Amino acid sequence: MRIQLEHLHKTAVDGSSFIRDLNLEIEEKEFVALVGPRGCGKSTVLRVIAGLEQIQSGAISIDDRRVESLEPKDRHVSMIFSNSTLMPDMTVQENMAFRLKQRKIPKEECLFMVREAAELLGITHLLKKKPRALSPLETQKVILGRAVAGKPRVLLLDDPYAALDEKLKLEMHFVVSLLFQQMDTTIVYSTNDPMTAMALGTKIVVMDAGHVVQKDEPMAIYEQPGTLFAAELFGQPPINVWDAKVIREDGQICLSVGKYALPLPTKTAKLLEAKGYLEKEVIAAIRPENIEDEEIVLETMQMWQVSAQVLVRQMLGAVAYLELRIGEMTMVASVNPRTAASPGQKIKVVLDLRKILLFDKQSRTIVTK
Amino acid sequence: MISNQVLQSLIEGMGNITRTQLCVVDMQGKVVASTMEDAESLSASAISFAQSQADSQTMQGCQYFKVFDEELLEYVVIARGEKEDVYTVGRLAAFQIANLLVAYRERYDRDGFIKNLLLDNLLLVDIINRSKKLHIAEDVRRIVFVIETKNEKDTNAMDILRGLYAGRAKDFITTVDAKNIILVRELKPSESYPEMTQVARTILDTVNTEAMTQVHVAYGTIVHHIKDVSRSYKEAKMALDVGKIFYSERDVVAYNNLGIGRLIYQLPIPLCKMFLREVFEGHESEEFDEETITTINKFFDNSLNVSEASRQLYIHRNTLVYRLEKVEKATNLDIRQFDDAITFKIAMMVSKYMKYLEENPF
Repeated sequence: MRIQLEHLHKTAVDGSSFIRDLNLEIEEKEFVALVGPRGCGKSTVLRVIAGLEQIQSGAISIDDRRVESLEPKDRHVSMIFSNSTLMPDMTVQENMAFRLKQRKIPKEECLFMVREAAELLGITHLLKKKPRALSPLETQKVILGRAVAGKPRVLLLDDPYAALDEKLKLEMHFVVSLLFQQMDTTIVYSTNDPMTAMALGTKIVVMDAGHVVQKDEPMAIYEQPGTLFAAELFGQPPINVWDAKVIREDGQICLSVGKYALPLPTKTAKLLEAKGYLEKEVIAAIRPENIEDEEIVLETMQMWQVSAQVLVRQMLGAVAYLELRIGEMTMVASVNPRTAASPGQKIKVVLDLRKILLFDKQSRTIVTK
Repeated sequence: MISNQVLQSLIEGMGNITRTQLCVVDMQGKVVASTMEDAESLSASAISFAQSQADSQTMQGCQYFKVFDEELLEYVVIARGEKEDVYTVGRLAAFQIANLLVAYRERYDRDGFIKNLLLDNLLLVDIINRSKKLHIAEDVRRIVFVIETKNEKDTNAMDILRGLYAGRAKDFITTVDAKNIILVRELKPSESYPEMTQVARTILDTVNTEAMTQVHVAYGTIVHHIKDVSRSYKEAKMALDVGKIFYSERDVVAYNNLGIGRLIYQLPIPLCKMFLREVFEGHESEEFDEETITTINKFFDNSLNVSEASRQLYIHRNTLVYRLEKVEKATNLDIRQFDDAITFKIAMMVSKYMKYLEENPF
């Protein structure tokens, strides 16, 4: 189902804003992950869609039908929170049917809907069990099953697995992804964790201070973030950021990296010149995986080579992290684990400027796009 | 007190198991539950049996049994058949209904007792005596949660709470008005305030999930004796009020975490007015537009750090300074200074409190 939020505004009694002039379109059968720091308004957006919070102004439409005045139960929306739990003295089947019965759905139809949801999640064998007999994973599946039993038009998940241990969280993420593939439901999932958002969402909405910063596909946000905020939000280890200057040297447009002046790729250079950033200060950012130390890369990208001192080397199996001192700056590189670099050693690395991100110093919005 | 539905379910169950037709008639001769098709024709004979001295009697192919509730005749049970096994089934049904009456009476007594306890309607001696009679422990730790629903008499929310606490016989769920559901919860030895915050969140999230209705949850302090339960209730009510005035963004409010709001809530009104006059010197805090209020709050949230606040507001540092200077012009308070910031913050809260009182006169 298509959800449209237009110019939403919600303020606290003291006049401060929870969300301000928020505009967001969620297409049918989209899995949207809302991500941003705590208090940025993600949960408020979900609660507003569900009708659990009132807005001061703006319009909310589900399938082109305005729903602001509809009671939450009439919006055909289901929601799961991090503390949602099962009723201990009811069987799984009774738990899953509870809300359907309250909607006065006939008993036979209730049972059919419960069975359908249970089959979808592979929990049919649990229907007669009481919650205390379930494992944590089964409990989470039942809570999810209860939410989808009435075939909601929209499923809202308010960071439901944040408090679970990593293994369980990962398993539930797979369950939710699988469910999304099998159901014709639009899902909106809010999370503080950018990795969760990347893993689950077909679209990611980055939020900050009550408004939408960017909405795009996960890789697009990762590679071309609209703002420095979005760039810093995603990626592990975090993106390397430094104050730089766009300068002209020997007829080439270059970027200052400490004492180095590295030539920018022609396309980027032209863009910067056209936007008037020549001889201006910018904020530069490069992801750790775009700093490389492999011999073949050093040979092919000599123009972007710099000297670095290895401060720390961390081996993580699939990759190794190197903490490097480049001039006065410290950067982290994510390199091949077979790297010969070791702490204290001076090495050459390449900053792949094809992947460089440059932001306006004042507005902190991207200028290389 | 028992609903006819419960009686019907009981005799249907017994009837199915024992293959015996049963019927229950009340003292007005009304058939309240039956598995017989011709039950109505037996009501006259049931009344005549009720008026007799006998405890049981066989008439016209049926056996009749009396059901008493504290020596008061409540129902007549009729079992079809004259054999010995039908007699046993009839006696069993009568016994079962008598026990149900006791259980239901006790349940309603307990509910009434908790209601009166919360509302301070009982003397200490009555609290002790009645809690003993109702088998409610006196010296255990309890806490009171108040769950305020958006809609009055929200039966869905009530059903969910009953469902959540159905297995906990030592907890009580009741109502004393149309919008609030009250949970009196007994604590396990290992439980304390962090667990209670979790309980409140679970209530909130489960009611939100299942009933899709907006609720606020507040709780009082932990009390150690049943006589203090009303204190915990009053605290929870106060927390709910203070939360509404000062912490509207919170869905769960704890009495022991009300901060400065608790102090302001208890200030006399004339004192509040005097303080506001002194601080704002004729300017009302409501005169500030939303942009200014958001700016001030963000500035406070960032510990008076201009750079960080401006970054989070997506405005230039100078714009923030300009806005703060505008506030200074209006109030004579430079909120970049700690002392003035404190005065301003308290004045804003007092102003909020006064506004609440105006909108909600007692």
